[in-house]
Amino acid sequence: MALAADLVKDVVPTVTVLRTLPISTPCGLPATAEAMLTRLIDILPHGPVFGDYDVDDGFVHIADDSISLECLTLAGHRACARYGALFTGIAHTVTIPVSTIRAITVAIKDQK
Amino acid sequence: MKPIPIPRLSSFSTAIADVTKRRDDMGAQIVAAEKERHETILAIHRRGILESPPPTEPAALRVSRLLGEAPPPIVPESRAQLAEMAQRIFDLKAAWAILDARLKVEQSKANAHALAVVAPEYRKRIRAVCEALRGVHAANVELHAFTNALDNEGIAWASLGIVAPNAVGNPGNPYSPAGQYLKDAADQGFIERNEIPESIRQ
Repeated sequence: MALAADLVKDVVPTVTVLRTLPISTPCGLPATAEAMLTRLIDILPHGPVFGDYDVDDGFVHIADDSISLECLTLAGHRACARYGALFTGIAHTVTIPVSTIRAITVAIKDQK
Repeated sequence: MKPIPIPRLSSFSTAIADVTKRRDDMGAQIVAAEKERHETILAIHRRGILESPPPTEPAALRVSRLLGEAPPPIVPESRAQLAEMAQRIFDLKAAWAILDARLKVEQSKANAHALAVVAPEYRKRIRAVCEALRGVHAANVELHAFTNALDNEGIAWASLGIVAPNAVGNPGNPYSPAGQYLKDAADQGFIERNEIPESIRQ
């Protein structure tokens, strides 16, 4: 989440805002961005199924007023679960592949 | 030309063939599982019990709202079946990646053995190129000495045809292509430095 901040001094307020973003697309995922990311990090080392989604080749897009999980539904459709603003226009967006998040979570889990 | 005896990597490690087969079998299972998932999704669609279009899409939700209807949900059995398939494909891919990593380790070990076998032949052939280059250099020295002598006498020899061995370079230039090649060969231990002709030795 901190990656969305423009400056170091913006990190704390940006994270505070982003973590509380409410879900904008009703899709059975956790109600806030923080809860969704926490759950995502929990499940990633074990498999790709996250609610009705297969996140294996998905992406997390982080803007300064929204977070989106773009991936496939279990039925193979491209889908996007969004938290916060529905349309971010030309806002600066950081995109992180889910595979990268998995690699980090697995590495941290192995260290423990 | 004499046939070149190139050893096979698999001759240095019995594990390579075994791991390759296991990895390829795993790859075939992934393809089969993907195909099965695709066919299952099509079958579920044909039965009309799956999201179509997916209920998570805002457009589908808006259209359903206009129609006064809730978007069709995924029925639990379909979700469980599809989730199980996604999980199996994920597990197969993880197993494939482990086997592929093991194969690379085995290939790397076998490669080290193979290098020990082929190194003398490789050295011999590099030295043969160096030897031939020294011969070309010697001929180049003689050619330049001759044309320089003609120049000194004021004899215009260009009409005889100028065929300068530019690929070898000037025989007095240590940075000529020939000089650079022989320097590289010496730096990597294929020849001694004193085997480089003095006029092109850096």
